[in-house]
Amino acid sequence: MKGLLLKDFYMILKYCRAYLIIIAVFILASFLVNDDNLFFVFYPCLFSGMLPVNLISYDERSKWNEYSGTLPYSKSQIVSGKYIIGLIVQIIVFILTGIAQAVRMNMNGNFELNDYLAIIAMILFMSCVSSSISLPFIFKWGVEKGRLANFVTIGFIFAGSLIASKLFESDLQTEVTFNVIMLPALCILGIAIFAFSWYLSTVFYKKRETN
Amino acid sequence: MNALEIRNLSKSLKGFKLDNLNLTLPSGCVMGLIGKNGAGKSTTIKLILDMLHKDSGTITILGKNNDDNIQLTKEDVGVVLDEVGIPECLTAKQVGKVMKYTFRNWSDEEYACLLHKFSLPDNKQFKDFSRGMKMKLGIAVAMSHGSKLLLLDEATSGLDPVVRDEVVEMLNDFTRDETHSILISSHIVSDLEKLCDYIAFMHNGKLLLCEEKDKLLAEYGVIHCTAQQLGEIAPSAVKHKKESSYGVEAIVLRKAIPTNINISPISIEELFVFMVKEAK
Repeated sequence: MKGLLLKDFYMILKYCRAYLIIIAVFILASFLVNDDNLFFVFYPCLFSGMLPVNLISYDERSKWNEYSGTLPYSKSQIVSGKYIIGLIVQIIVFILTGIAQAVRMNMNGNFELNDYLAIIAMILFMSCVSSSISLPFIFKWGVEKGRLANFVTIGFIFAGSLIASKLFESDLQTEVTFNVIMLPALCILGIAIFAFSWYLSTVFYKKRETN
Repeated sequence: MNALEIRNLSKSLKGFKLDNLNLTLPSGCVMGLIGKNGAGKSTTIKLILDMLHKDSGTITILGKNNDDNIQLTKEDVGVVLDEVGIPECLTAKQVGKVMKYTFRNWSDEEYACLLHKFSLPDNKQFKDFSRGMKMKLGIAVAMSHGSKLLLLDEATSGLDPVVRDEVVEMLNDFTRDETHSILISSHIVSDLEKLCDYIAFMHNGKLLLCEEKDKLLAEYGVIHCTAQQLGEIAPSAVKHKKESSYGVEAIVLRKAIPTNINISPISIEELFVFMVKEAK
């Protein structure tokens, strides 16, 4: 599978430089905004989750998705390649975002371990979920149809979140509170969603025919 | 051992059915899969590689059933598809590095030698290659990991005559080793005529014929004669005829033609066109 990862690495270097720059800019920008605004903190994680989707899009354009079927790789290796390359990028972004957040809170003189851990847990959750939703659709139907299904799902999730926040009258962005049960549960849920997405993509891609 | 054996292979797709295909490619031979677009050539190649799942039948590649660990079998199979499929941003050098980690028997020396032989630049991106260069790079990859079988899907279409000739020459070199075999599909029959030992005609998902090329050329011929002369020939020996005010041109079985009628050699293209018309 090293070959698949190396090929994706070359593609990231060529096509995704702008992505990497945007992620870096957002991490730097998170220093400059006030503590209540976590958009700049969370956005790089969400954004980095789009990277595997874009790599698949380039693969389809160059017909690599067909060519890889002629190479000695199993379909699960092809799927895993995308999850692993996404995971590597997301771990790097997660670490950088986590460090930036700690520095920012220290600079503002309001570093609270409980608050920090709550934000870290949310960053981890978002990192795990950002690509997990779209990839199974894309492995099942390809980038064009998969993206459409992805938008519909995100729409439902967004609508669901809005309804939930109205029901509980809580603002998740500004009132993140430390909870001994909630935060580990959030991390475990994120990882579980990521693992299930990986499994689902493998099942879908094994059934998909390269025609 | 046969390089490839296909038995009773069927596959239904939307608006197309590959129907009960049987093919045998002996080791050390080149087989040309000839058919017009949509005949089922690419579908056959994808089924061989398990990129499409067959409905029924068996496929044996280099003595191994393609249901059993196809990844391992693919180590010995070099494939060039119509659109090659190499990512556009990669250079030939980077492709070599990717393939080094892909194939167990990858040979850097062989790859470098082929790049040099084909005059392919190391550091130019794939998207900047001409169609001929792209195809040559695909062939260089396919031949640099100790392949015993090459599967080439329309590998010569869209190439200029000089490059096509180079590719055909290269494939001839490959089959000098008697353990090497090639299955090449094309609708450009003249390329296959130069290269192939066996010819398989496909039409609308069906195999019309699979035979040794020399046997076909020995069996069939073309005659130019008058209508009266044609009437003297047994009707079963006349496979196809075209009448005009200048006379008759007919595809015939050589052995049934009287010696006083001159028989010209038939081309595989003429035979293919005749077979397809017959099948309609």
